[in-house]
Amino acid sequence: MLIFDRVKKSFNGKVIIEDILFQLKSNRVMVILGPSGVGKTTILRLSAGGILPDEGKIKSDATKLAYVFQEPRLLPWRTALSNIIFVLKGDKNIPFKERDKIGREMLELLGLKGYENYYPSQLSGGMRQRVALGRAFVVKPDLLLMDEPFTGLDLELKHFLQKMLIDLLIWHPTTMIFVTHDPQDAVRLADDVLILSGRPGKIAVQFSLDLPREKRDSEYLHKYTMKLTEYLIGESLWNQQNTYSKF
Amino acid sequence: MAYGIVLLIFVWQILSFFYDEMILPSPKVTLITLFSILSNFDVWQHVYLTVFCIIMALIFGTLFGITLGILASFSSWVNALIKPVKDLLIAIPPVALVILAIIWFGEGTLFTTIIVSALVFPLIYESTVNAIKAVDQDLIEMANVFQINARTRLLDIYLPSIIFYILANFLLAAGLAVRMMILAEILGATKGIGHLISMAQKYLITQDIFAWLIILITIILAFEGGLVYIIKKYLLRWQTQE
Repeated sequence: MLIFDRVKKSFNGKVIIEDILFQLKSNRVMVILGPSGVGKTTILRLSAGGILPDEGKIKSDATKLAYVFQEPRLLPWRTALSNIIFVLKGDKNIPFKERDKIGREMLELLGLKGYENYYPSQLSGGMRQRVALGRAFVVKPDLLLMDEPFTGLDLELKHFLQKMLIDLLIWHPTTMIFVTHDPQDAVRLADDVLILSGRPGKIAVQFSLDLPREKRDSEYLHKYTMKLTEYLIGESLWNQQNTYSKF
Repeated sequence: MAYGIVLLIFVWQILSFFYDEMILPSPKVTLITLFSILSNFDVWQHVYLTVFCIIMALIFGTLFGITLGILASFSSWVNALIKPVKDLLIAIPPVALVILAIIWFGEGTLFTTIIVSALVFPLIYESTVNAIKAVDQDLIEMANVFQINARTRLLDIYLPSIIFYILANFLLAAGLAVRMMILAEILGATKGIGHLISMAQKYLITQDIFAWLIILITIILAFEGGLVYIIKKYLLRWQTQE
């Protein structure tokens, strides 16, 4: 469970987000949507505990954290298998042999069997991001933070990775915050959707998608993606007018 | 490169017509001397010893450089302690250092190894300190969120970054080590290639010196070639594309 209670955060005197209020229940996925610079990543960093809020409270019962960044951030000098095992090394409860086994199973789950000994430079961009996903899930986190992990990938690959993420969430259900500016990510993955807008960023809309993600068909996706897109475009137009009026 | 070598030998041959053998022995004489030197079993032991000392000096200098470089990066106290020593080692002309070391430690194999280590050390130390500043902060941030412990960070993030970063300087240090080892041996050793060169100089057997130079060049080239091979095969294999 993760609770943000009227959280405000500023950097160098500039308020980034304020009045952020939400409650994310265990094993639910929240997708945060909004234009760049609205403070989405700030919410992730606050959730991770790396930075503290200026005002308000953050409550979290998470003990094991995982993070997927926009770039894979793999160790270039380690193989795909080693990169996944890397995050388990601190855990003394898992003996060396067991780690290796877990790593191999994860690669199989990611559809990367046979690529155990490939270095990141020998993998494609999508494969690297898959390894990064595997690395995040292999620690069995109770809070998983994702910072636009599919940005910059082509549509087909994005689709594939969204599906893979859904499979991984069945393999290990976890509380997750997924930050993106693509409404389709939200419609495919989210239980709860949070839309931020304005400067400083505030919650514009907050709602839930009740149909389980595995059951969402293309009609559902289409309908809700369109709705969200229209809404987001409306929001950003409003923002632009606001910005222009300053000049 | 091959043309350059041919030209060099040609010029050498021409010049040797005009000078006495004691000043400039011809390529042919040098070659004959080279074979007679190499056919002597005792000589090989000197060669082995020199190569062994160079490798030991490189290992010690590098280990000290990396270890102290890492410590200095994370402790301003160690940094304050090592920095003047490192600056001094870089500033003093190597020959002066060798002479001082002979006075302090006496002549011999141990002294040459120590002195060459001391010359390798500051190069590696300096680039280790710079390497740590250049470690990818994105990877450190990743290690932070995954709560990676200090030991794993050192072995899986810091050391590989450092090794990659200091390779160029390590090759430089290897070249320096060979040259300085010979110099130290010439000035103050009773064994090794340098010692044999200094004997040849004492008795003015110039063709011996020339033959030794050819052996040395071969050793340096083999050494650097071997290092580059190891680096490419084992240390940089992750860098190959496809």
